[in-house]
Amino acid sequence: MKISYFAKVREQLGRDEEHIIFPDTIKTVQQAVRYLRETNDYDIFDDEARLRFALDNELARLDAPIEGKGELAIFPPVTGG
Amino acid sequence: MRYISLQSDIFDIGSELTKFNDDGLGAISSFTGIVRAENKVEALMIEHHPIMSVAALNDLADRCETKYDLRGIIIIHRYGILRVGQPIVFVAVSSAHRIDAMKAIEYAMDRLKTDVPLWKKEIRQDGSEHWIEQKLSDVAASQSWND
Repeated sequence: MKISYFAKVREQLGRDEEHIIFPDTIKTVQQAVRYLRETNDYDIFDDEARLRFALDNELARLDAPIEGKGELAIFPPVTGG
Repeated sequence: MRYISLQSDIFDIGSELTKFNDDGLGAISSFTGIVRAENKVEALMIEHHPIMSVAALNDLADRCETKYDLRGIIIIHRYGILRVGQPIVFVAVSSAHRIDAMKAIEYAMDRLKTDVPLWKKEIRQDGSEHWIEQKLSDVAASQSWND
């Protein structure tokens, strides 16, 4: 699955995207985020309330299933305008 | 009439308003956000999600047109490096009557602040960079519309 990062998340991780093959046990956005945090020491993922998510360019909640999706985007709350 | 743009180029408000070329339309209302001189800021760097941001602005325009009696809507948001004093965002609507025009602008800006994937970073005069955090007051204003 393609994982893309934006803004502060991208900057802190030092990468804008990566490709991850998740184990079959990873079913939701939340499980994917926790898997990434544990396997890569991504401290910025500690506070999930400070993150927003999108699956295939649609906003997604933590409990959204990732099955069949091609891309998970992870970014901070938005600050435009 | 609808015009939506995510762009790095600066824009001229007067020129943009000429897009409302409907004679006798009644009312135009607009809002322009400008880079503030505060916190020793030299410029803002604005990042956006290249696919989701345009879709979110079109969705916002849809909701404005559903909620208010509008004839036209323009939403322009810039990205990249923006110097102090330069415009960031421009929202304008035309309507037969002022109330719909003014309310639509307020609604559009409150929603834009929380619904469109854009992020601002301050670049200060000493060279330091600071990502701007989402304000609780912006979230409260957006949620107050309750739709």
